[in-house]
Amino acid sequence: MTETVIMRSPDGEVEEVEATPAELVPRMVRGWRQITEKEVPPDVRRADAGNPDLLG
Amino acid sequence: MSVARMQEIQICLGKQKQADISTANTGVQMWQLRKLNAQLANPKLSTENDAEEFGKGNEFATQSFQTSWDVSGTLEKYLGAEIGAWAMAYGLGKVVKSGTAPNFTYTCTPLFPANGDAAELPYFSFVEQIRPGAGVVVDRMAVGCVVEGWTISIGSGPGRANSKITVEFVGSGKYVEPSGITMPAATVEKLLPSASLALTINGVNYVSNKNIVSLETSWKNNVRLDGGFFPGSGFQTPGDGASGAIRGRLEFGNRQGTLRFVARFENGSTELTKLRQQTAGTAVISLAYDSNNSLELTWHKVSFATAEVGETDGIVTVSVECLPMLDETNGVVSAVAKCGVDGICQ
Repeated sequence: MTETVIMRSPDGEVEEVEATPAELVPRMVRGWRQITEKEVPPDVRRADAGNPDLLG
Repeated sequence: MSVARMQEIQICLGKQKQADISTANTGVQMWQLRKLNAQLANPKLSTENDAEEFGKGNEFATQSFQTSWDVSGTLEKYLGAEIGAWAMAYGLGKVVKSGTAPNFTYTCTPLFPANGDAAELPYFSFVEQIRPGAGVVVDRMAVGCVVEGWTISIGSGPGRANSKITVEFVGSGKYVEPSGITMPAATVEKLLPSASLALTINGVNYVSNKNIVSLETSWKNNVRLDGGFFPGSGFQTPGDGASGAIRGRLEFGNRQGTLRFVARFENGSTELTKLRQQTAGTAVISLAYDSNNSLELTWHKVSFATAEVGETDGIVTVSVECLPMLDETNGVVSAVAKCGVDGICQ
């Protein structure tokens, strides 16, 4: 399975992308930068974030 | 007293980037590397005097003043996976780290201020020591350095000298003496030898056709040194206006990439045709120690600026200078550097 990293666009959009040059380089050129899990804004929830059991 | 010889010089530099231009790396953030050149990164003090001031009654200087400080240096090294990753990260400026031990991957591109990136390059500290401690000869640390440029040279032959990197750096002028740094253990470096080269330029695989003779590729940031001295940029000794100004920022200027190579020229060689037709394509340069330690450099759009037929050791060769251009999707250049060292430029 390909590793992923979290990237943030200049507009604040957050995406988890595959850590391959084909995915990373075009984003880096457009101003996206790598962020850590802790830097993900609280209002942005990724699909794999959290435990759905706690929502029940 | 015993003579100090240059073989004793030990250097270490910031593996992790500084928090800002004036906050020096700590010892645990640095790594020790070997080098090939004897040049030292001497702090240079510029001075001025009062000779031109009226009111003294004559034209002679009566006082001199510390004006500003400069630090610059060059590292010449055999090209290893570790220094390759470090030079790409600090030289190009933008890094995404992925992977886990022993395979960390650093994907590096230049910064684009038009897209929101900083114009300041990542900062590191640089330490030189000869017999630090009671019998010290040299022990100092330049703080707030950036990579001015790097050059990778690949030649024909089995020796380590056929795969080298030269890194030039410039500093804010701030230095600490004694450095206060305990030299970390030497880093075990993994050579990226010439014999491992894979090379495709403008649609031609120059390794599989056995035609490549030599290659040189470089990046230069043309750092705006004068722009580092702005009102409020600071002094060598904080709060002491007589201690000489230091730079408060180091921004890149008009950056330049170069790629030139020499290849055997034979029937069917396409370099002159591509020069005439200004054919553009990618140039991918790869070197590897093993699957965990490698460097792949991609110039995303190059055409041939010059191509001259000549000779190398009696064999007809063509010497080509490429023009790196901006590709709208992938930019000018990117590097994917793999090594077993964590935290480079983080």
